Amino acid sequence: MGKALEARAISARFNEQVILREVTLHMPVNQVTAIIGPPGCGKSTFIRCLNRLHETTPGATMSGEVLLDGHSVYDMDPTEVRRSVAMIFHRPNPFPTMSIFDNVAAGLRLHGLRNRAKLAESAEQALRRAALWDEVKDRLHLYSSALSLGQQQRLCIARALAIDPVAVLMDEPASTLDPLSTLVIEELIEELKRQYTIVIVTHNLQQAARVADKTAFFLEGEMIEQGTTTALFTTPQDKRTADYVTGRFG
Amino acid sequence: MVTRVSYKTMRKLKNALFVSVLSVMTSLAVLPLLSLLWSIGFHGIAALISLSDAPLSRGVASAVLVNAFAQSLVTTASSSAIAVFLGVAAAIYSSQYAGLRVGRAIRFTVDILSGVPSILAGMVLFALLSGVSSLVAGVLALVLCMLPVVVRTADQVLVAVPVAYIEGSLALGASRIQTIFATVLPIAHKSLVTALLFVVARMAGEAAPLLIILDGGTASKGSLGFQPLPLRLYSDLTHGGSFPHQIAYVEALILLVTIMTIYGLARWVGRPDRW
Amino acid sequence: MKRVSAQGWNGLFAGVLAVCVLVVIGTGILSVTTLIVESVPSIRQFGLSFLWTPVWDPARRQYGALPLFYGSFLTAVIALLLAGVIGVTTAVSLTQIGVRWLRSVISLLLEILAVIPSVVYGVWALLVVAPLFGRWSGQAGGPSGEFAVSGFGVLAAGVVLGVMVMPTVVAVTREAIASAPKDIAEAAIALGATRQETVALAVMPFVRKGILGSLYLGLARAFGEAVAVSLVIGDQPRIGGSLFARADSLASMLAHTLTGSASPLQTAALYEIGLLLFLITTVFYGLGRSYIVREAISPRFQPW
Repeated sequence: MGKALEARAISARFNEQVILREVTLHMPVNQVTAIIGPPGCGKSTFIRCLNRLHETTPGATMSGEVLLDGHSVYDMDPTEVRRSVAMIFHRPNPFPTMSIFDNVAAGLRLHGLRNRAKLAESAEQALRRAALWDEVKDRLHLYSSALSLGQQQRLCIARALAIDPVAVLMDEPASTLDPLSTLVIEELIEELKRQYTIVIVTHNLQQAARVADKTAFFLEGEMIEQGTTTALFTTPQDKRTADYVTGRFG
Repeated sequence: MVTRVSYKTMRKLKNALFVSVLSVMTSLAVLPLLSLLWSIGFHGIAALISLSDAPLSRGVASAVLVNAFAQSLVTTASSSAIAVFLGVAAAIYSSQYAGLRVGRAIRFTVDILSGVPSILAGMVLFALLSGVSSLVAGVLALVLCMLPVVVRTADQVLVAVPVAYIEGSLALGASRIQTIFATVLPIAHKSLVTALLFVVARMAGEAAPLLIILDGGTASKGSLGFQPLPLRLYSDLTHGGSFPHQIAYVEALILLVTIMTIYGLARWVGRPDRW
Repeated sequence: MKRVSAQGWNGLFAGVLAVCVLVVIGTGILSVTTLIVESVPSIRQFGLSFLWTPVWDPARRQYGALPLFYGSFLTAVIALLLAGVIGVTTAVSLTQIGVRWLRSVISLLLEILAVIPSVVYGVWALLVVAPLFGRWSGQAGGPSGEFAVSGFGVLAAGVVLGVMVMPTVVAVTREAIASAPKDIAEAAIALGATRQETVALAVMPFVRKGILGSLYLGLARAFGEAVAVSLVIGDQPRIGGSLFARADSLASMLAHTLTGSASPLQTAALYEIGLLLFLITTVFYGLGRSYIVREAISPRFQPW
C-alpha cells in the first residue's frame, strides 16, 4: 500500500538561481501523478526535493514542506526518506560493477539484510514486480551491462522496489528508451500504481495522457495548473496550459 | 525490529566516523603547509630584523641577496623565454598541424620527458658544457627542464580550443596561419598565459639542475659568484658561511614570496570571467 | 620579385614549427644519450653487479647502487604511505563532505603546497622535521631557531617527501573522483545510502585506477627529488636497517657529490646512477600516466 505525498510551498534554488517557486501539489495514494512542462521548468528539481536528493548537490537549497503520509520528510533521517520514496532516473543507472543480482540486493544489503535465502527471495520478488524476472532468471550473476537499455531501466526499478518503498518517483524514466521498451515501462507503471504512489516527470505529453491519473503543468519554476489528466488536457483553465498541451510551444 | 534499529544506529555511527576521519586527514594534509609558512615566515622576518640591526652584516647580506635575486631573475627570464618560444611553437604544431598519430607520438614523448627528474637536466648540461660557461649551462639546464612541460601544457590548452571556431575561420577562407593567429591564440591566450606562469613559478625555485653545474664551480665559494637564489639558499644550507642561519631564512622567505607572487599572478590572469 | 603564395607561407610556417618539435624531442634524445655515454666507464668496470653491490665507497673505488636503491626505495615508501593515506582521504573529503568555501580554501592551500620549491622544503625540513625526529630518537636537538644537528635519516626524508608528493596525489585522485559517473552515485543515495556507503559503493569502484595512477606519479616524484632529501637524509650511503639511520638516495647522492667527484670513475658511476634514476622515474611516471585516462584540459594547475 502506498502513502500520499504532499508538497507545500516548495521553493528550490541552485546557488542564486531560483528554480522552483512556491509549488504546492498533492500526490494521491495509488495514483500516477504526472509532472509536465518544457525543459528547464523545474519539474526534475521538484521530484528531487520529494526524496531530499536535491540537497545533495553542492549549491542546492530548498524551502517549504514535503509531507509523506502527513509527516514532514525534512524532519526525518534523509536515508530513511529515500528508502521510503524510491527514485528512477532518466538514464538507466545500474551499478556497473555489480551483477544483476547484486544490483537488486544492493539496497537490501545497505539496510541490513544479510540472510542469503531472504535476499534471494526478495530479489526475485522485486524482479517479478519489475517484469524482468523471466528475462534474467538464468543469468543473475552477469554484469548489469549485459542487459539492454530497457532491461537495465527495469533492473533499476527492481532495485528500487526491493527495499519496499511507499512511493516511486520517476524522472523521465523512458526518455532514453526505444518505443517498445517505453511501452513495457508504461505498462509496468499501470501495474505498479496498485501498490505505490507514483510521480512521473515527463516531457512527453502523450505519455502523461496515457499513464497519469493526475497531471500538473510546470512553467519557469511555477506550477501553472493541476487537475485530473483528462481535465487538464481537454479543458485547461490557464491559457499557457492550453498553449502547451495543444503544442503551441514547448 | 530491535536489530533493525541498532543496525541503523551502526550505519549512522559508521558514517559519522567516516566524516570525522576525513576531516582529521584533511587537517593533517594542510598542517605541513601551515607549519612551513609559519616557520619560514617567523624565522625569516626575525632574521631580517636581526640582520638589519647590525650595520656590517646588513651590508654583506643585502649584497648577497640582491646579487642572488638579480641572477635568479636573469636565469629564470632567459630560460623561460627560450623554453616558451620553442615550446609554444612545438605545441602549435602538435595541436594544429600534426595528424592524429604524429600528435599522439609527440604527446607521448613530451609526457615522458616532463616526468624526468630535474637534477638529470643539470647532469646532462654538466657533461656537455662544463668548463665552457656555467651561466649558459645553467640556463640551458633550466630550458631542458621546462621545455617538455611547456609543450605539454600549451598543447593541452590549444587542443581545448573548440574545433567549431577553427572550422568557422577556415570556412571564411582564412589560411591556417591566419586561423592560428586570429582565432586559436586569441581564444586560448588567457589560459595559455596562466598555464605558462604556473610552469615559470615552478622553475623559478628550481635548484636541482643548477646545483650540479654551478655549485662546484670555483666562483661560488665565499664570493658573490654566479648563484641564483635557490642555489644560493642550497649552498648556505649545506656549506655554511659567516651567518648561515639568518641569511638562509631571509633567502627562503624571499624565494617563497617571489614564487607565491608568480603563482598569484597566474591565478589572477586565469581568474574566471564575469559578465 | 615573385610573390610567395599563401600556400608557401603556410608550408614554411609549419616547417618552422616542426623544427621546434624536433628540437624538443632532440633534447630528450640528447639527454638520454649523454647519460649513457657518460656512464660507459662505470658500466664497463662494474657490469650488472653495479645494481646489487652493497658498498658505495669512493676511498676504495668501490661503487654499488644497492645502498642508494635502499635509501630511495625506503624514503619513497614512507612518502607514499603518508601521501597515499592522507592524500586520498583528503581528495575524498574535498569532493564529498564539507562546506564549499572551506573546500576551496583547502584546495588552494594544497595547490600552494605544490608550488613551493623543494629547497624551501629543505629549510622547513631542517627547521621543523629533523629536530622533531631528533627528539624522538633520543638524540639532542639544536637550540630552537637553528638548523637541526640531529634527526637526519630515512624517516625525516620520507616524511618531507610525503608532504611534497601529497598535492599530486590529492589533485589526481580528486580529478578521478570528479570524473566518476554522478548518476551512479545518485542511484546509491536514492537507495538510502549514507555518504560513507555511497563513496564505498558507487564512487570508489571508479576511482581505483586514478588512485593507482596518482601513487605511481608520486613514486616517480619521490624518486626524482634531490634537493630537499639530500638536506635531511644524512648523506651516508649505507643500509642502516633503522628508520632513524642515516642513508642516501639515488637523487640525493647526485646532488651532493657529483660536483666534488674525486675521479672519472666516480663521475661515471654517478652518471650510471643518473641513468638508473631516469629509467626508474620514467617507468613509474609512464605507468602513472597510463592510469590517468581523462586528461584535465583546463589550464588548471597540474602538480605532476
